[in-house]
Amino acid sequence: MSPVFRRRHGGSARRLFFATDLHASEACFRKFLAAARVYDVDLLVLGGDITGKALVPLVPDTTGAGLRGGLARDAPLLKDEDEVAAFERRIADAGNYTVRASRERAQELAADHDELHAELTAAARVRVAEWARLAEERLADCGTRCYVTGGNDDPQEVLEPLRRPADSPLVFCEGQVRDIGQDISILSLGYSNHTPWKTPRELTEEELLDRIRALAGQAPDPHRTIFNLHVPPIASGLDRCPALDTSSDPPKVVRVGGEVQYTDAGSSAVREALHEFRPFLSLHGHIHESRANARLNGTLALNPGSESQAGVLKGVIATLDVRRPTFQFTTG
Amino acid sequence: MAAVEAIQHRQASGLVREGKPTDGALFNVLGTTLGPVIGWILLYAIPFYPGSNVLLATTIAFACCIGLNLVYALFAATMPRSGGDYVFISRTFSPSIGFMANASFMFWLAFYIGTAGSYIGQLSLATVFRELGYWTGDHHLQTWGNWFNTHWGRMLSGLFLLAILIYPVLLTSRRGLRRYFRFQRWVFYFCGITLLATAVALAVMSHGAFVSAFNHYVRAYSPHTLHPYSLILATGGTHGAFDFHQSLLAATWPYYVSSFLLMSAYWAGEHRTGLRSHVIGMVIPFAISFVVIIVVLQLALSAFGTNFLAALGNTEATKYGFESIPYFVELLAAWTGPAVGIIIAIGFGAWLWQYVPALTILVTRSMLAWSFDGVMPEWLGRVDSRGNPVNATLVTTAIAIVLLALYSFTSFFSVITALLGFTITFFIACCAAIVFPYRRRDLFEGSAGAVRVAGIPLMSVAGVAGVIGLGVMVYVLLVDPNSGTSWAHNKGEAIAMLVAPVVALLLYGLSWWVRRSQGINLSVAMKELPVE
Repeated sequence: MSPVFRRRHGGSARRLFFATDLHASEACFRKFLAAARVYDVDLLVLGGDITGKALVPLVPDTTGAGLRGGLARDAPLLKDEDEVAAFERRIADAGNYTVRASRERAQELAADHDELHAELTAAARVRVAEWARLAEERLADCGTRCYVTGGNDDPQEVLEPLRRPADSPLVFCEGQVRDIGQDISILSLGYSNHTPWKTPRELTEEELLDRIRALAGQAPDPHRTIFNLHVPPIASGLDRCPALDTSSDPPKVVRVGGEVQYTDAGSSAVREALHEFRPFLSLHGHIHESRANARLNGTLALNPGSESQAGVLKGVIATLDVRRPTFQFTTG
Repeated sequence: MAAVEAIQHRQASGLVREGKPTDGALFNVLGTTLGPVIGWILLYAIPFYPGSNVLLATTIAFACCIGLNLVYALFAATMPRSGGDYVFISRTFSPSIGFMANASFMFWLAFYIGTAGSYIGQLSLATVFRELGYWTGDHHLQTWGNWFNTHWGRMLSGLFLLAILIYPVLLTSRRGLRRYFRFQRWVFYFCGITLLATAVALAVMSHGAFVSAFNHYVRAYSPHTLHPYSLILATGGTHGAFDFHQSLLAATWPYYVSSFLLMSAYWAGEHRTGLRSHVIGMVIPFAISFVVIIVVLQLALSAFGTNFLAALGNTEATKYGFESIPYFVELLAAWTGPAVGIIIAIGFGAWLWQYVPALTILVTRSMLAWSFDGVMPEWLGRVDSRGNPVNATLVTTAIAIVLLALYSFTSFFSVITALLGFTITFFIACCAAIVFPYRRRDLFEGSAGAVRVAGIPLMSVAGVAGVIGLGVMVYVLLVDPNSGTSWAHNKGEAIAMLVAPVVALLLYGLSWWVRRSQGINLSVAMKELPVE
């Protein structure tokens, strides 16, 4: 038996736990690592979009009474290091970053997008490096491997700390096909089709399909391969989200008569690839609000959704039964 | 602590929680079918319980549900997830008990989905057609209205309502609730206006004016009955002296309203978060509904007379030329005239029209959750390309039709039989509330529902109050000979209330066994992961 599948359960099928779109939530990542033990699964798969989207400056209070958690006049006053640590933990759990800065520097970050991008990328890189270290520490004991990819929101430099030695239980598998034992492979790609948000890693549908095809060509047997593609297939029920008006900056949710309009934001390239290669299982994220499953031409497609901002880890346990995989959504 | 303003690198659309607090409030009030239940109290609670005081009965029913109402509001604030007691109980005790309680509740909701249409004959159309007959002079029209009270009339009107409302449900239930909220708002305006018109008419109408109008109205159908009002009083007997025990038993009827003002907890995941939101959605409507019922009942009692209402329910309608006992809206219409009377009658029917999509949304959402958690087959949770839960809706409809047939063609179920079934679920939820702050400190502390009174979690206090209040209502439902679950008269039906939870528990056990063979452990679906 492969070391990946070191345990057997009541049933014959081996199981993976998949969560995605953690967006820097410290609480969710720690829960994710705990899932290996609590859910008693054989491997972990962490989908993309691990980068957060906001930064909270810790600036000196004008009276010298401590630090303020934000620029607002009534921002929380943190009187000592214990309070600062608790505050930083709360912010991290919600998927944001903190940075200690002078009020002038904080105002500069708020006004200059490039400066903010650089600061946030640096903070994200630090957190990813901490996560990589924590994952190796936690998973070393239980022997479970964790396969992790990026998403369209993750700048390449943020993902770099995920590259680990070959014997590490943390496997950065972005843009690769990896053998996970039992003649099953996992194909991972974190790029998405174009979004209204103009995120760091987007491709045209043609480019996306070309990349998936190139990777599928490396898989020994595409049918016995898990397609770990960040963006879900279009019009699959896994990709329903509010329609956005891109004429404004930032884009706004389209409402007609007060009613939110919904659209399919998935990828036609992914849909075509699933149809072409018929993997037994495909794992997706990207659309947080579209927690759903679908059987598409023999492929069990899953999107567990995400509520990482609330510290809630949404995930899915899937059995690696190539003939008929089953699944179970979780809220942890 | 003040809110933290982060510097956003980029925005995201994120989860759109479409339910405003007022949407929850309207959902809950409409879900009680407040207007029709006031009619039921007048039509049944007075004649069936000699010496009862329906105002006291209503007060008892609401007092018994204060704890229950708070429990659901606090739970929804603590765990803003869709699924209601399925989530609360699963996380407090175990998924098997959560599923048992929730599936039992959903089964009885399916009963009301099926039977909603069948009540329209009694509550609305019988009045409408008799008024039309009065208006046009074609007295055969009352026979048309009464047809809706026959076995086939109930069955076909129930099926009709299902047929015309299932498609809108498919359109609204997963593509966001906003469309349904707009629909319910318009229904509420109509229902609210007709209820207000009813209250105003009752306030303006003197007892003497009613007697005169009623006699005139009945004589149109029965010219030889010189004084129908006196005839009914003489035939039906008086209400009798005040009797506390009868008042207690009469609480069965207003309990239908007081126990239902919590339905928005089942879509708390789509409701705006925070305790205030659920207080506006559940607690305030609870208080307002109580006041509205008390006011309308008092006005009706003054206008019609308690003795007359008691006698009316105990007198065969054929004695004064009617084919069925007039609903209280019809009594009012005798004074307002047929045009206003018909509009009010349609308004009272409209309470039921929104019932079908509202309850179907709740049941199908639960079915999706069961399927997602692996308790029910994947097939049940399948959605079409537009995101509509087609299979869950079909299953809900099928169950509703079977229960509608049982209601229409047998005497096994009455309108209020399901109350004991609901109460089992509510009772378990209240027990969960007592221990939740202690068993699940990790979830409770820091949540919006972590309110304390004298250092004790309000949720626990509410849970204790709920258990006591529901205990009283269980006594009422088992003793009241009209509840349909009386231990003395309907032992079979009372025991049958346990069938739904027992079957649900067996289903869970079967599912657990099947899933285990597939390598899935059902107990982990809602297991809180530690932040290690």
